[in-house]
Amino acid sequence: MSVQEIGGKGKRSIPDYPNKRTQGHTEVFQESLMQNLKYQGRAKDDREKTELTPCRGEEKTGVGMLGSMAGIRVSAVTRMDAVQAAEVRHMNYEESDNIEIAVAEGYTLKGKWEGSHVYVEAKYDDGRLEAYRVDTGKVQEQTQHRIEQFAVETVEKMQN
Amino acid sequence: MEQEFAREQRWNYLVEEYQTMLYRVAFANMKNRADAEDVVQEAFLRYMKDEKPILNKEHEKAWLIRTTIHICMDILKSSWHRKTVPLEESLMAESREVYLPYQIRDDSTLEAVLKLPVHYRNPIYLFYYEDYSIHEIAGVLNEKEGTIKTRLRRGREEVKKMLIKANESEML
Repeated sequence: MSVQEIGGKGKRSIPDYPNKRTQGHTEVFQESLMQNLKYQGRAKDDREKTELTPCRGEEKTGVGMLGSMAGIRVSAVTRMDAVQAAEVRHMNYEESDNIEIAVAEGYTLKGKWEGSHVYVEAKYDDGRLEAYRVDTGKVQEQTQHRIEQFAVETVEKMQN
Repeated sequence: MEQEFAREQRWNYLVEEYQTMLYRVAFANMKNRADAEDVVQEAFLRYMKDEKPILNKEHEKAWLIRTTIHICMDILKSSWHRKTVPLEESLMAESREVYLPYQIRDDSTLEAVLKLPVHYRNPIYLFYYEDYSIHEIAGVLNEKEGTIKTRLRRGREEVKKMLIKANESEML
């Protein structure tokens, strides 16, 4: 057996891999890549529209960061209706009508019922401080949004 | 006579303004009422004896909290205290009696916080239950803000573990 023959045998023994790229595969991949890039671009635009700039230091008055903590993740559509960004007032526990201390989740919530809306201040263990103005009239009954739920609880607490 | 009157007025102001809050901080460390009360008395006495100028109310409050924690640490490190055995049941019962100016929904979390090692317990307690900012806690405990953030995060993980463990044992 010549050297050429050995080489040829070895070459033939390489199996045909099922996922080996063919001409058709490449076109499909390129198409899906283009679509993904298009969607990513859109998502980025949406984020830029909703996220506000910090007021001072680490204080944020923005709904853009709202869903970042575990346990208070919500859909963007719901939050835009009832929850609005507000200026942080540094309200203390004594001034608050409702308090939630969530050590295991890493945040505290303070709420004050102000007639037409509830002012909510959220403090996170990474140093962020955020404030929201929640119109409880616009909150959906089955909301999964923690800030909205907390605002509704605050109103209920004050009415009882 | 006038000096004595001023001293008495100062004492009354301190008691009215800080006693409850300092008692809670002391209780978080000493875990029993009698020791916590002794610690607060000692902190006030040290404040009255201290002749360093106090810049403002925030400085005053931070000084008192820091001193209270130091006194607690000194007692906890003392050989006499180390020989005593804490009663778990008494901690559970007494932690419910700690006066907080607001209602807490979950006693088990506070109990878990009180069981944390001291370097996690004080930042967590001040951050969540006394509503201090990371900047303020760093000032009170003489630590960097980054250190406080790390302790808050690690302490939170410890609390989570304790709560999961307690839930599991309850279900068995």
